[in-house]
Amino acid sequence: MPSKRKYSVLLPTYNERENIALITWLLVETFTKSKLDWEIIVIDDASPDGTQLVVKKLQKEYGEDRLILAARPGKMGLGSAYVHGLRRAKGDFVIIMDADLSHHPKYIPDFVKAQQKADADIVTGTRYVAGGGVDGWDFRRKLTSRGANFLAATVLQPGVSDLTGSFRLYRKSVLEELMAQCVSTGYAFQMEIMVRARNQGHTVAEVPIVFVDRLFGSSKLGTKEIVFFIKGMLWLLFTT
Amino acid sequence: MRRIAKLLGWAVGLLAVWLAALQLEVSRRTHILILLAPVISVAAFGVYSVVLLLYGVLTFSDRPEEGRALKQDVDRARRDLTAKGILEPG
Repeated sequence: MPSKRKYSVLLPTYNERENIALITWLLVETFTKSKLDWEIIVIDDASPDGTQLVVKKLQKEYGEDRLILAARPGKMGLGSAYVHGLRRAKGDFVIIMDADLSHHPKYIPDFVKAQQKADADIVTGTRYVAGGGVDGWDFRRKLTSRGANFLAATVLQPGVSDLTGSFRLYRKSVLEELMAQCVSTGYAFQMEIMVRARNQGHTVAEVPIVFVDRLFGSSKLGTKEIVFFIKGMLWLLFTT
Repeated sequence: MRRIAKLLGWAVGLLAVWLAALQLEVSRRTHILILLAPVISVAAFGVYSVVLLLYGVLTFSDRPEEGRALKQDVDRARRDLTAKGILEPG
């Protein structure tokens, strides 16, 4: 699998001082083992817990050219964090994942293989196919996740099994193009970017991943998020 | 074509078929069936959705071994990061 391509990982953070160190360590291990060229871009929204101090220590260990700190003055949202990080990315491909370790870096070689096999523009991690799954979710959480995906799949017909997943690999030019069009936030953002990608004929491959909820119930999903999601879905129904 | 246009296209098409079917000269019982067809279809779709959704939830894989594997990897990372002075012990 060795290739000349470079992979940029975008990690938006807010108060992740311990997780950013752990995920960086696991990313470096994975990239070194699979002989991939990499860089990590941390987009930190002025975390008060010292996340940036830890990133600076990590930079001394792994190099400032490998680990890039793209700080922002305050909490400004996920979508704009990706745009901010993308400006600094020098990779041919961009990997987006959660910094809280619910996405294990060990799946990245699977993403790379799937991308190469299909020459795909996007590879998305899915919890819903054989080999994928979750750890730490109760019936209600599973029902909400399944329900949201079932509803969106029925209404929008995107042809992708895990519309709300946020562990993905993008061809950089494709992500730049899509980011310029997307306006949603939260779970709806992951859905919007995929729906627009399919509309424009970009190829999407899927790889199974296991999502691990380390702090049970940490991934917040209240009524507010559900209402946002449904609004986002209806908006996509009428505008795309 | 926008998704909403496609959806409305289907709705108009089905409505036309239904209205045409209502004009057919059929027995009273068949006529009532045709009259109720939209309600029956919606109910059937509802049942199909609920069954599919429950099937999806019940077959949603639980992978506790992945949680344990992650914990081991995290412990490994934490030991090395502590040794390097990046994270504090504890």
